[in-house]
Amino acid sequence: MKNRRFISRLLIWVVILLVAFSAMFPLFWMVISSFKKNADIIALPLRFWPTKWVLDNYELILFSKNFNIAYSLIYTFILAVIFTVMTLTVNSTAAYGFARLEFRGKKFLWALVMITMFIPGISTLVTSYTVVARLRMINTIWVLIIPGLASSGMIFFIRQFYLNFPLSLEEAALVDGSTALKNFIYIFLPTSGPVFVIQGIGAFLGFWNNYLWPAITISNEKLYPVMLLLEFFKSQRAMKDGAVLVGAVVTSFPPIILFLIFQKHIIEGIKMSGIK
Amino acid sequence: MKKLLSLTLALLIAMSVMMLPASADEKVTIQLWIQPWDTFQQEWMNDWVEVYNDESENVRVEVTFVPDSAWAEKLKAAQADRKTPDVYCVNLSNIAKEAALGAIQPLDTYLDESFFDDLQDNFKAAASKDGHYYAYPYQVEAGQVLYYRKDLFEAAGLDPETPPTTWDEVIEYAQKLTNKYTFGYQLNTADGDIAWTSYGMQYNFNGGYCITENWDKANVNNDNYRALLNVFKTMHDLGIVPDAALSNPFHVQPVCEGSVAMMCAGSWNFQLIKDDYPEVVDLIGVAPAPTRDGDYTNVSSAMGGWSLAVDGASTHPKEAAEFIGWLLGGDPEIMLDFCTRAGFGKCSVRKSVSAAVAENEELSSNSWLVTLMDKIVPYGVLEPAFPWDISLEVGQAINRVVVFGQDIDAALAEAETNINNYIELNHTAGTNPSYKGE
Amino acid sequence: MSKESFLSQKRAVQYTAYLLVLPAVLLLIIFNITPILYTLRMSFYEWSFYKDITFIGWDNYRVIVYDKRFWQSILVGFEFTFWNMSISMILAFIIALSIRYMNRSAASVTKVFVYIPTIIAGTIVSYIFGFMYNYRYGILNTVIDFFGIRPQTWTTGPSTAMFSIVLPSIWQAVGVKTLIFLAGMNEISPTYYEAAALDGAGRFKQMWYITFPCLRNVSVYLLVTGAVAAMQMWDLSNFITGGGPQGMTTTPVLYIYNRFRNDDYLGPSLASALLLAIVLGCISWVVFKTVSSDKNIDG
Repeated sequence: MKNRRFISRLLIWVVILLVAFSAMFPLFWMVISSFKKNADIIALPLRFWPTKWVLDNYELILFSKNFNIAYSLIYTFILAVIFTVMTLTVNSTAAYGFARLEFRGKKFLWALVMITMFIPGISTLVTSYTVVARLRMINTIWVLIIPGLASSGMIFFIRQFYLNFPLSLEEAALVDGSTALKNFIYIFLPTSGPVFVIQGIGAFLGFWNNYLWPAITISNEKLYPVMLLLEFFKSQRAMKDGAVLVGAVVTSFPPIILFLIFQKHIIEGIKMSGIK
Repeated sequence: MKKLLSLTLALLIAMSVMMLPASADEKVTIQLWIQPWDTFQQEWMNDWVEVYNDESENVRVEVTFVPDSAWAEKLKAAQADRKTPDVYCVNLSNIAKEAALGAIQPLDTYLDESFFDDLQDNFKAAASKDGHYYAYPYQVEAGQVLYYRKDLFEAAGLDPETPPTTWDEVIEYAQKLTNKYTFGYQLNTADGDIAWTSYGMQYNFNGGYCITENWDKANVNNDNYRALLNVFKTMHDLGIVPDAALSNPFHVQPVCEGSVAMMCAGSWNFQLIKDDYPEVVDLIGVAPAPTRDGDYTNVSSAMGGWSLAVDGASTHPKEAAEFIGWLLGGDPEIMLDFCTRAGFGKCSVRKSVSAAVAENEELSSNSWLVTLMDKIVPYGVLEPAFPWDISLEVGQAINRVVVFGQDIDAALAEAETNINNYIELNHTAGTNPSYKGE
Repeated sequence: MSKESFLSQKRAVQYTAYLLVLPAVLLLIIFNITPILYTLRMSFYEWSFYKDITFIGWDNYRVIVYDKRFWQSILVGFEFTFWNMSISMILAFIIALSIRYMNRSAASVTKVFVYIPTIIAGTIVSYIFGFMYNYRYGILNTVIDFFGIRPQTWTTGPSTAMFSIVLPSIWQAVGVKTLIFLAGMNEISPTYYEAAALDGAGRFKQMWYITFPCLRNVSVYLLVTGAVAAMQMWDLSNFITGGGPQGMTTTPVLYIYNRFRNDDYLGPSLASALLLAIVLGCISWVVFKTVSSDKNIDG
């Protein structure tokens, strides 16, 4: 008996180590390389650790006179947070409506929502641009936030989750004189925490990592999100692998840190009875 | 409920206020879009635009740098919305096509002939269509330049001052240069990369590109291409090139590192070598790319280059054209400044500027630049203007022979079939805007 | 409840429903549906930006349907999706299972590690892995050289190119799947397991007869969303392999993307995107019909 337990514990440890190693190794390597001289990055035989830790690349990126990356990081972060909050609100209310309420045209509207899930983004890149151009949103912060707010994927996910709330709770509340809206706010929202965290992180990342849409809709340097700024470095033809790596490190870390802050909620476990 | 409504209303009002356009300016504003290729290029552009804006009374130029990875999307979106910039950057080989599409308008409507006289002859041809000048070239780069390590040559018993001039010599030298640490040569291995980095070689072997002048059928299943494919196959068979290229097709990193003794890459590497590998600058020699018979005057390289053009739908074409003329075709000082800041390796397209460069001591003592300007650029040919898919077929044919071991004849036959199919399906025949006719 | 109050309740619910649902729906209509309809319309035109547009009927579609590279890209998409989904689902399941047996802190740590790769942007992932695949300088070849295997041309070799893009995609995909599997597993009532144990069922039997079936709907959700997402991957193949060799890693969206950049007119790229959308829709429809999941279950 003890042997079996030992083996399973060993296996667990193997899994942990494998997961940790494979997940973190590429990132670790990326961070290490960002401190290397260019020669070290492509040296042979492979040099894992830098021969000399250099901050040149960091200097180049962080203190570049062409692009203010610190400003862009903060600005992008703020916008991303606003976006995340707004999108969670818009999509969760819709999800609740579709999950719990009956209204005329429900089936039709739901079909509308679902169709948008299957259209690849590139096909509507140019036509979306025309739409936002007509709405005079080009070169403003709104063009970054508003078009992406409604997400059928998120509505779908949250709706599944809400579909499986026990009806009994609501029925009791209704008898007590509550309204559908109150139910949403006082019953559904409080328990939506973990779902919101997972979807929220997804939304945040979607906003953070998006660079093509900002590239075509924004020409004002002050409004560049940080990934677009990184593209400027990558697009230049210089052999600056180190600088690109620094850019990659710098733009990856805010989401990672945000995640680490919120991971407690994910740790708590997600009640997914809705998906069943 | 009321609260919610008034809140929404307030939000909407706030939003619409933010969306109001800025009050109209008295000045005419010219929008200019260009890719940020190099730091010095951005600085040069910003500096001179500032000068122009200060000097000009009624025109203001605004520059937007658009990363190349988003260039096509951004431009096309703007074109679809009919809100394009007044001036934008056009690749030399696309000028005729863009003119045919109506995307750019003739400059000589607003600019005097004298602006264009100063252009070197092959660039005059590149910039014109049907007798009109549609763009002003400002920068030219050779796509294929031979870089080699003089010290490795010496170590292998080769004369560092006589680089190989024919492909046979390349193979011979590479065999001597290949050892445990170094490959003699590097060829690109991804089909897309092979396709465009071999433009010069293709033109040199075939006397033209892979399709006929009229773009009506493939010109690839012939002895010229057989010979070309043989070069690739031989090099791989002999093991003198790495099985997978060690760098992306733009950089001569492997030569700087000493992992590869010779390779062909673009002339834009001049400045990059100086910046990133200053210690090997003296060890690297530059020569025209190898040719079939050693004669570099018979096209050793394809030329890539950039020009500025006025958008076909621009509402201020006169001011736009005048700016272009002022910047690129006016006082040679401006372009000389460009070449100086570029340090090594940006070739001028204008006779007056080239003359000024030749007089500049620092630049003219640079043997690399001299080689480029004397031996490569004057004999360069423009990159193909026909659709990329066709060029890709050649790259894929070479890739099939090298990686998949396909027989050369079969590979070329397949390429020919595919190219002809493409031409038929896409109605490419007869659409060459530069076709002079029989 | 009296009839009046019932009706007014119903109207109140309708009013609430519209209030809740319309913001999202309106946004979708304005920013998603309208562009789609516009795209659909323009796919039947030669969309010249500087001259008048001309109606050309099915011509754009014809160009795509007769392009063998388009169909090749669809097959590549299928192949990629197959490898990506099968491996990541299995890995996610195993890791989730292992996490269940871990103590609190080990579980937390593992959950964090497994999710972090998801956060990195596709272009950066491509850059990192592209580096590791370098024939000479890459760490992968260095390691296998240590074991005496000759260096591989990871990104350009016909047998390894697909692997070279599947690997980073799995690296990114396992995180979310693991957490969702885990959540699904946590929901299975322990009484099932207890009963099975009492009946003498071993661990494997328990997994087969309890865990798997209970996770069916979770799996369906992951399959559909994962497959649709995998079919739309383009950045890994663009930046790591360039879509080669011979188009063997050109995924459908990369094909569309290339068309978009290279063609003179937008028509063919729009047509190919819409055709892809139909393919994606069919896949999802098939999976859904096989297992319906649209029920209001009570706990």
